[in-house]
Amino acid sequence: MDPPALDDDEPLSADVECLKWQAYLALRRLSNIRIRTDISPAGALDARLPNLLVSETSLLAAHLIPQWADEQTTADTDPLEGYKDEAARDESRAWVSLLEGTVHAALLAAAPAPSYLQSLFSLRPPPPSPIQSILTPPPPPLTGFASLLPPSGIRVPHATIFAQYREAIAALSDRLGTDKWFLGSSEPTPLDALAFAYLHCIILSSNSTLRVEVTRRVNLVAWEWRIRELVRAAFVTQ
Amino acid sequence: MYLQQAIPGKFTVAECNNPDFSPTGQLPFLVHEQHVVSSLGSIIRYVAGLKKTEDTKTSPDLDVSLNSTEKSQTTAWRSHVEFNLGDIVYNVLYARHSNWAGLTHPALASMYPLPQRYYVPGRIRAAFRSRLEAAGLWDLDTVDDEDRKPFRMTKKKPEEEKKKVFQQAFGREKVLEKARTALDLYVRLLGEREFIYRDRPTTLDIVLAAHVLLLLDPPYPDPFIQNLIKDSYPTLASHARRVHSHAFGPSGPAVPLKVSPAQGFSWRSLIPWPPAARRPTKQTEEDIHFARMRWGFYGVALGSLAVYVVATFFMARHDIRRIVEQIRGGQIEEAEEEEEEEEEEEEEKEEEEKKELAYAT
Repeated sequence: MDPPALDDDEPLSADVECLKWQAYLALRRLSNIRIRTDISPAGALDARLPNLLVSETSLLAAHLIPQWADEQTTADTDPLEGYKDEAARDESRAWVSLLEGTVHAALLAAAPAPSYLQSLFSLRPPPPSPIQSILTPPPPPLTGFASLLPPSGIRVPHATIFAQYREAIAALSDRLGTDKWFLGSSEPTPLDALAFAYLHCIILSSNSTLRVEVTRRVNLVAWEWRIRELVRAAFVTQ
Repeated sequence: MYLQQAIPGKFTVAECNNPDFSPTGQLPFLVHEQHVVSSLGSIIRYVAGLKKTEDTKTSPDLDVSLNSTEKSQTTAWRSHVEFNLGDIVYNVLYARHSNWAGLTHPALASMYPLPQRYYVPGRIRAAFRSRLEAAGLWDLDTVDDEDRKPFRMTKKKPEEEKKKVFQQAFGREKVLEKARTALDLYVRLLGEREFIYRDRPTTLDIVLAAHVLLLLDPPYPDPFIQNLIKDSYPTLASHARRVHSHAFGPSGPAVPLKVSPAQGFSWRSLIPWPPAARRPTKQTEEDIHFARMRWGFYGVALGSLAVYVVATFFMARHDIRRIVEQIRGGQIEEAEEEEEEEEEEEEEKEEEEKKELAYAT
């Protein structure tokens, strides 16, 4: 997985995608999972972390982790996926969209931009910005659509993104309320794993605008703290 | 639809074909006196905050009757509709070649004057490519401009041609599957009710209806999604028509919609400028006083600069003259010295000649 944000002894990754899967495995009550942070994404399956090393000859990509977890827990397949009813399961799809769309866009927009001087002297062309593929509608080019100049750069609407982010966090806090798990579930669900991953990364973010919006909501901070201990206990650093 | 429900008769729709006029570069945008608000979410928040009242009939906030749980659910569902159903709409409009060539491109091109009609539609389409590629909805039935050129520099390999055929064959099914996944959720969310939450449309109803109507109403050359909704999701089609009728039909607010004509060609649109600052229609005395003070400050600053430049010029001019005279004086002295040296040399020569004559005699 990607390395942690703070120190090497911290078992939680700084990357949302890796942390999401860590939380998923921990909340499925799997434990004693060793982690490695010295693998580059270029060497991973699908060129993306995390990967799960099941045995010396078997390496699983991220999308195969649920199947492996099902085999380990020997639990019956639940059509409701752990949610209390069909309406809650359907609603979870909406919350997943909100987290992976609006909140993820805010995290990308708040990330420090690459050095302009470095990009001038670099021989390689700059990689496409991932925020371009997340925002809907997509951001326009910096030079505009109608100008005679060829399209160059992207015009990221930071004010709009952060306004939507504030609305999303407020909605998340209202929906959680004082429940133990999101949507009133009796047991942790994949939505809880995803929500924890985003909240944890936001709380550790260097951007105060993002961080303050979560830290001013006591129920989210308390919930994240509780889940953090559960997830941390499931992993062992090498 | 939202404004017609929230503030009926109190707004004007101005047709705009240039997204660059918007502060964020995207349409729509709302202009209210000196405020310019862009993006749908920001417009909804702005309009909802214009007048705080709990009366559902007069409040500009369509979600005023919802409790906190329903409001938070609305936020999540709106995100789901915009990200998932929105991708289906963009795929149908921009990625499917038959719809792009037969409907979208001609419609966009007709909105723009020369020369923009030749490049703006393509740029708008290209802007959606990253989003659709990430969603896996771009390469399915898309004919790139490179493929359509009659004289291509490089020939396509046979493997690439076969891959394209397979992609097109399975592309339609992939879009249909994604559409069914999303539409099934909305059908269950709506249930047997006329509107999702209350007996009148809320923001979520309008956002959902807007996306469904964009899939239902345009005359697409390839209407496969249109047929899917009509045949398999009649409740969603009825819901969309009901919301539209509630806003614009005979049962809606009896206030006609005002539409101003579209903007014409502008030379300014050919060069990327930042959006023009909106001048307030009414200026208070304080604004006038502030403007006078500001122009006065500019005048004093520029005047002082001009005085400084002129004074410096004259002082420098005097110094320059003195330097030139010194240089010239130096040159004259050098010339006189050279003449004296030549005269001395001639005198020495004459003395030597006299001496030689004296020795000779």
